[in-house]
Amino acid sequence: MNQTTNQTAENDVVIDVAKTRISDLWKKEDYWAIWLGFLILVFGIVVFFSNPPKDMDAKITAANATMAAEEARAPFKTIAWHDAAAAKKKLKGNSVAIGKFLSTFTAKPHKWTSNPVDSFMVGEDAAAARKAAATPKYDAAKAATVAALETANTKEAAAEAAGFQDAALNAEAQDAISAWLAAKGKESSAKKKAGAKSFNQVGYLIGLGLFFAVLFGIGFKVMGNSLREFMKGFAVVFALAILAFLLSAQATMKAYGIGYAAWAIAIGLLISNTIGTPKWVKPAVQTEYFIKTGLVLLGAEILFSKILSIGVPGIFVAWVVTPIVLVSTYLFGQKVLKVPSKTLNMTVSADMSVCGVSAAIATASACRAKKEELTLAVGLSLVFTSIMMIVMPAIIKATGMPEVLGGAWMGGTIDATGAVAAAGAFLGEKALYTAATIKMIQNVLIGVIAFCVAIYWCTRVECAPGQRVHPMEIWHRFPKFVIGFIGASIIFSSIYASLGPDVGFTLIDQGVIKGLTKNLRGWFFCLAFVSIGLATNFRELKGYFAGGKPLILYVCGQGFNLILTLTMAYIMFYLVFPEITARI
Amino acid sequence: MASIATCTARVCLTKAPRGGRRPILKGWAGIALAVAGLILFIYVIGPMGLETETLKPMADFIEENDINANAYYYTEVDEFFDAQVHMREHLKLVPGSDR
Repeated sequence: MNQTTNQTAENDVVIDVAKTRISDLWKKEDYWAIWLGFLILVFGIVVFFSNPPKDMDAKITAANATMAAEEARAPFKTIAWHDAAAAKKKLKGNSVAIGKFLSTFTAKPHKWTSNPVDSFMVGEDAAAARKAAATPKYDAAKAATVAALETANTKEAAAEAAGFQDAALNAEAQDAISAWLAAKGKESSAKKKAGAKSFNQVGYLIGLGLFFAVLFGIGFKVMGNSLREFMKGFAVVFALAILAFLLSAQATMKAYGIGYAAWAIAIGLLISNTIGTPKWVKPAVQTEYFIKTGLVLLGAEILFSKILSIGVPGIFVAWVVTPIVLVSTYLFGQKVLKVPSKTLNMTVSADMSVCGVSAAIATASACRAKKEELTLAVGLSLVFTSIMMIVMPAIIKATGMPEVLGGAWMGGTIDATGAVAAAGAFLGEKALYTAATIKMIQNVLIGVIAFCVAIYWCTRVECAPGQRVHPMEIWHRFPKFVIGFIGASIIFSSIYASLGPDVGFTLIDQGVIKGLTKNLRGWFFCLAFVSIGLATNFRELKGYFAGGKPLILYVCGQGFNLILTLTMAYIMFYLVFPEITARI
Repeated sequence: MASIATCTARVCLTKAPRGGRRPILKGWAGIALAVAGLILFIYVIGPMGLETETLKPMADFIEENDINANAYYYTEVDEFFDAQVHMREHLKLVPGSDR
């Protein structure tokens, strides 16, 4: 959108006249976000699709043949079936040389406990010491897996000897196989720690900073700004983003669920409200530029095609409850609480009902919320996520709620994805899988919600009451980066569907996304949050919290969400689709 | 509000904080205080909190299983890929599944 700003000296009124020009394609950050985002995505596709893991197709075919044969042979998933499934899962696009390099180059600072230097570099001796400390546990876990496998083999053989006709023997075999899988999971965690290697991330971080400076700097220059000034300021913004990732990688912070967004905003706020953001840094404080580019990359992670294969009841829970809660909370904020800012109301509603920070970023950008409003929504989400991550598993355990129901409840209500994984896994495997599925389906809703919000804002909110908005006017006002965001989602979903779930998982999930775009998107969002902090004043932020209305809105909306999600989860998983629940 | 006129979008990002010039010393003292508070939280208060009866089981579980508990999107959490594979393989005979 190109806005012509006319200001009268008397009343400081800003009048926006929307126009679209061909030069917007290279002069507006919305389009630059699309160009940069797609440049990265195309690069990712070329790199990972032309370097698949060795014998990928043959291995997938062999594994699928084994799994089909085992399914025909036994009424439950046998050991051979699980081995074949594990062989398929091992095929990862980012395990090839170029994938490993890109993963390392774009990596964030590593996890650390007491010495922050460990986040950037670990020497040979320190790695050997870590390895030595973790090896006894790994050896014990390995021995436990071997023992569990032996038992599972014996039980499966007994079931097979009875022609898989004895229900009791089948059940015993299934239990033994589950115990073996659990032991394998523990062994895998122990193996990660025992496989500690030396590394030095410093050089890569410097290289990554330069790459980002050039990537964003070119667009900044073409948009008519000084490249030199951007580069100078960007060094500071990037350094602060590293600091935010460093703090979020600390073990205690991980346990509290405090992520990089909170740290990035806090660091920025601290600087801008104490010594002040230096003038020479301000040219690089480009929140929208960073956030929109990150959102185009996020679009590629919103894969519609795969959710259909991971759970019908989950689709009902996530796709029925989430829009109802979102609209109800927004209306409650407008009609009952009278929240003065519609954009704040919508951002908090989306943040609470969909999936926290990611949804807040997408929605706030779609309705052009102010930076303080996004900060507030993110802050509320982070506080309640930490609380719910601890309280909900405790309630579910205390009430004896079934794992699947508890998982569905948590997946539909806890905002942040990492907290859903922790709370779900804490309850058990079934709870984790159900919670993760619901949250994944909810995550996919971000694209639809951002698109609907952008349209609603263009047609209803940003026009005079009773005014009929011409379709061209909608186009002029529409935030163009949303086209890139939705376009990336549609293109990647189509590619994923055409590849099939196995190759899609290997080359897209474990290749383009895990090996490249996930990391870059995280960096771009972190740069955006640092920028928000550097441009925000505490007093202005306080003004948005007046009367505690955002908090009341969040609490009431989340209360409704908790009730509705639990009810819908019970109906879908236990009344409508009990046969699916039995398979989880 | 003259500064608003300098912005071309509603999200105006380069406006300087209000409140006038702060003494430099006071500003740096604020930073030093925040850094001290952060160190206190990372090394003393945070770990103490995780030792409480309410938080300890979850904190130990997260550490033990190396879960990325402060991730924001499903592609950042390994457990979500496991769940995806598990659900797809276990629900594939159910109508509505893609296989």
